[in-house]
Amino acid sequence: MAYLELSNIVKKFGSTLVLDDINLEIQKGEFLVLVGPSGCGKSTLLNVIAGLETLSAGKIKMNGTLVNDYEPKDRDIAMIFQSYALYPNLTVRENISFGLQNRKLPKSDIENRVNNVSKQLQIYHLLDRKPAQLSGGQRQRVAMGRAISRNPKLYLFDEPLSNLDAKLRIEMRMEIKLLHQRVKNTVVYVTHDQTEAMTLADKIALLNNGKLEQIDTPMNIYKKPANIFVAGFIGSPSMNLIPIKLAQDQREIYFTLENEKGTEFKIYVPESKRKEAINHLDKELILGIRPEHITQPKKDAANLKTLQAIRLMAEPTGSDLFYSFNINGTTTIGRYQPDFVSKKNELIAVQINIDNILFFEPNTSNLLF
Amino acid sequence: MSSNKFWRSLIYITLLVFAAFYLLPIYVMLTTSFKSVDEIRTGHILSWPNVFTTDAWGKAWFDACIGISCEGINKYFWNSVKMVIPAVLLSTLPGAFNGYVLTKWRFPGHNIVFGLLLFSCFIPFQIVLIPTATVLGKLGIADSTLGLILVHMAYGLGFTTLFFRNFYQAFPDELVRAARIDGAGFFTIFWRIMLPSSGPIIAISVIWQFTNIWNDFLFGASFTSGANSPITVALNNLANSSTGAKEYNVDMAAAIYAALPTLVAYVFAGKYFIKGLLAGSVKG
Repeated sequence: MAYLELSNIVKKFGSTLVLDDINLEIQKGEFLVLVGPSGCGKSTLLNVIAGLETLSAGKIKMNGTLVNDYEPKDRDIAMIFQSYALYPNLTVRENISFGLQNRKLPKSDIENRVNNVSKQLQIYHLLDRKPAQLSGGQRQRVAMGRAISRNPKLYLFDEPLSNLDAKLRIEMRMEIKLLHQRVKNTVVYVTHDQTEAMTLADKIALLNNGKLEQIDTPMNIYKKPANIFVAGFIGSPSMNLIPIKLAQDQREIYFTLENEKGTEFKIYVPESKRKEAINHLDKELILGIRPEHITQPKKDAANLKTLQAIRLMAEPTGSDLFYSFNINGTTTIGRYQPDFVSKKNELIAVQINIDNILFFEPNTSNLLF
Repeated sequence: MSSNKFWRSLIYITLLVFAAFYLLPIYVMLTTSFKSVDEIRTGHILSWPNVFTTDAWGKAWFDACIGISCEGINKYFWNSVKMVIPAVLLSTLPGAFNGYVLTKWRFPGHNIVFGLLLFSCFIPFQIVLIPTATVLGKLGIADSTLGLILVHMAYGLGFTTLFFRNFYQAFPDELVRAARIDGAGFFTIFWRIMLPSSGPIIAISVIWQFTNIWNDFLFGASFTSGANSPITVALNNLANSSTGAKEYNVDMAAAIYAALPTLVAYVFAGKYFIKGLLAGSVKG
């Protein structure tokens, strides 16, 4: 039995459909990340789980119990907010113990919990300060401490790292991950940052326009995105989506890639995909290929096909060098070694790893094979 | 002298002249209150007192005649104090509560309720005099401090609601949500989270209400008489009592007594007042 079970969740604000028939399950100890572009309904879904928003339709079960009509405080959850939501008039100690007092825990127990948690999160020396006297990272820690001290059944994170600067964000991300590995708490984590989703999640649920596009492990989502939207959303730079047409010559099924000069290169579909490809001959399809599978030529192998293309923009990131090309009329990004030298508009060799290509149906945008 | 310096001096001189001009009435009040009646009659209105005397201050407080009773204004001063403290508290606290509900626990039609409360700020006092008198009469609290408290409370609620509603509008919803998850109920959130963070707006509301209620003359004159009058009405009666020679020094001392609490309130809380006025506009 799933620990948290959402079935057919619908939420409307007036006539706007914000959540459209969401179904998902989370096992105990699992870290689920809800990810999607802004306005996709992910925060609303979190508020629905917390009980801060009512449902228009559907069922929420926690540990087998239907909790639709439970008040937030009766659901045994803790929530961590983007703005930290620390009570400005209370000290750190009071902030952490506020929820424990409301639950009428004995004084000595509250004191123990506050001390344990604050030592664990290295905020013990800050206990008598007010939130205004803390830095962003410290506030975030206090917010986490407030949640942990309650020892709730379920943790809800609402974009907790979005207000931090880049360096601190990565630090806190690691801390959250370590904490999860140590405590094995059940987490639903909302973010719009796909890197955060990839690094933290046991399972990613990708939302778009109130609909669940895909729910799977990070690697599966990365390698086999269910549709073009998921393919474009996860991964940075995002997956190249190139229009192609499958054809067959006397040898095999192939598609052609054409560079800016009009030179065409025949690429044969790998053996593993031939069985499916035969059903889509002469059809317009979308080829999906990630930038790391478009590289400078390294060696010769059956799965590596080399073609020539005019190198357009260069984006050095330090560890990588991203080049853009125009292939089949579409801007295509490839990942080169940072020491690779070329000039703008120079014709250079481009190697494609055909083991890692995907085909999408252009009308439904779904993954074919 | 550079032209820049010249203009700057001119600006300061102009400002000083205007400041002096605006301070003139209080100068006249103060100097007159320390003069004897004879000196007022013979001297110039702007002249400095030849002989300082505090007789007028004593007389105004203890012996001045208001109507037929010659017991000074102290009784009326305390009438006003007894009116203003409960009236300020009883209009500020429900105003805060209204603001809390209207922003954090929205219900269908909350905008209409707020609109109606706001509308009450714009009803001229004169229109409601007769209905209010009738209501006070039916409640049996006409001609009493209690009646005035009720009127000021009802009339103040629109303003205090407006203050608090706008302040709480900018108060992060996430805090309320966090508190709900932390198991705090409707009232706990109000008392422990919202109200303690409302310092600046409480200062505004209290000063505003205090000044308005203390200075009110119309309601005081309409709904009370004689011994139950607030100080503003008593001051008017004192100045209008026409027994013997006009004692301007006593009138002035009494007027300063009457103005003192609002002045003191502004001097001590004015800092918060200005801070509070800015608080809504600057996020922080």
